[in-house]
Amino acid sequence: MLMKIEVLCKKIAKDISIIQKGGAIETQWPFLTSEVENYIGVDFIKHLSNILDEALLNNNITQIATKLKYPSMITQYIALIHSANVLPLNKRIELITNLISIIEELRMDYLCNKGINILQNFDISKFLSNDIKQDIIPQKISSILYAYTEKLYPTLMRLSFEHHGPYIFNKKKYVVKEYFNLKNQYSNMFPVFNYDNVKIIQEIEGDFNVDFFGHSIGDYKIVNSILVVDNEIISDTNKFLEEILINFINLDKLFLEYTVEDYAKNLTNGLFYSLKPLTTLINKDWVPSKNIIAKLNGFKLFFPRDKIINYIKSTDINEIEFKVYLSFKNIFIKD
Amino acid sequence: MKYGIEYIVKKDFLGTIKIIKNRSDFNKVNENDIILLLNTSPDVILLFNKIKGVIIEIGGQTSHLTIIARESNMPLIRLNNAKEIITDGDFVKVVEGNIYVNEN
Repeated sequence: MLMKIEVLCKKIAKDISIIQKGGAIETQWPFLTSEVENYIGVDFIKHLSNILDEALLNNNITQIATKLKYPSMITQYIALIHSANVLPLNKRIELITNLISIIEELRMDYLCNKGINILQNFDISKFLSNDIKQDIIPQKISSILYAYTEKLYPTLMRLSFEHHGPYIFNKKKYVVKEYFNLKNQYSNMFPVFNYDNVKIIQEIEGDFNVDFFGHSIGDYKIVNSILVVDNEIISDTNKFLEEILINFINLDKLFLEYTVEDYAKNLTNGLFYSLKPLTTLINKDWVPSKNIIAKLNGFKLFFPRDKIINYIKSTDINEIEFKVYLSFKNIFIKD
Repeated sequence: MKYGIEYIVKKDFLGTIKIIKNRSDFNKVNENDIILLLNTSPDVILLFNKIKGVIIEIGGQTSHLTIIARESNMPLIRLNNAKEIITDGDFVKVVEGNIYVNEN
């Protein structure tokens, strides 16, 4: 198992270093998301470990994976694993082992190394029985929904989307850009939608892949797109485009007035919300402790942001990757 | 002047440059402008109905902006040291892997 953890650590280090070198750290406002992650990560990891332990008493890994449904919900937990240091070494290894097993159940290429990042519980054939007409609107909808979920990233992380594929059907290549939990966001502060799940299924040409954290990459051309809302193929795509754009604009306005404290509190709520499928499974509604909320009042930045940005800019990508790798790996070999 | 660029979402374009340092610069963007983004937040999608192309200094195939631009068919290129090369109001033309600044 340690070998598997090492491979995972290498993959995470590679993808994180690419993301950081691509300027992601520089563009996060008003703080690096990871500042708050560290702030509340200890409590989060303890909760996650306890919830998984309890869920595993009456469920196997497959049942838990079925409940979670999307690998991205777990990959985000793994990004928080630095905080696992609060657990004894055997618990850290047990936790990461369980998380790896869950992702293996959900995603065929669980590390996203081989370019076949398909969901094992997804059947594309039922959406492709009709002729797909060329329509640019679903692409635009995907673009705005992606921007919407990324806008929420500092508070919800990447809980609400999963890009997956490519799927081969009738010798054509398809990818799926899926957005979920749109109706039931964790916070009543954000605009919600009248539907819960939107899939944009695209016929593509070229190479498509997804990194471990769910970014779709590759040099590919979108040939056709169809819009599927709550599992129904939609022909009047313009109506959905308008509604989605209005929600994005409203969300954008809200964020213009956000303070650092607002972000910190919403990230906390968002992180714990991401455990909801597991808490539902064990019938216990975990909420952030009063202690965390108290700590977040008057939250102060404590990372040397400029120093980190300068370091990333001036350091070779291989060196960043190696340092991230060592940092992750050490969590599982030292007590 | 002519400079080499990297296509991220490939398509040639031309127009007048508006430099976007932050959100308050959105108001100065006109129809058919090209924007140079110094901060690549998702909000920029609000300009996509107006503009003809996007230039960035940082970012690549995995960046959030790339994913948004690809879905929207919005041309996106990277130009190293862009803010030292182009200024607000410059006319640029992106053709076959190069950007021409203030050249007819």
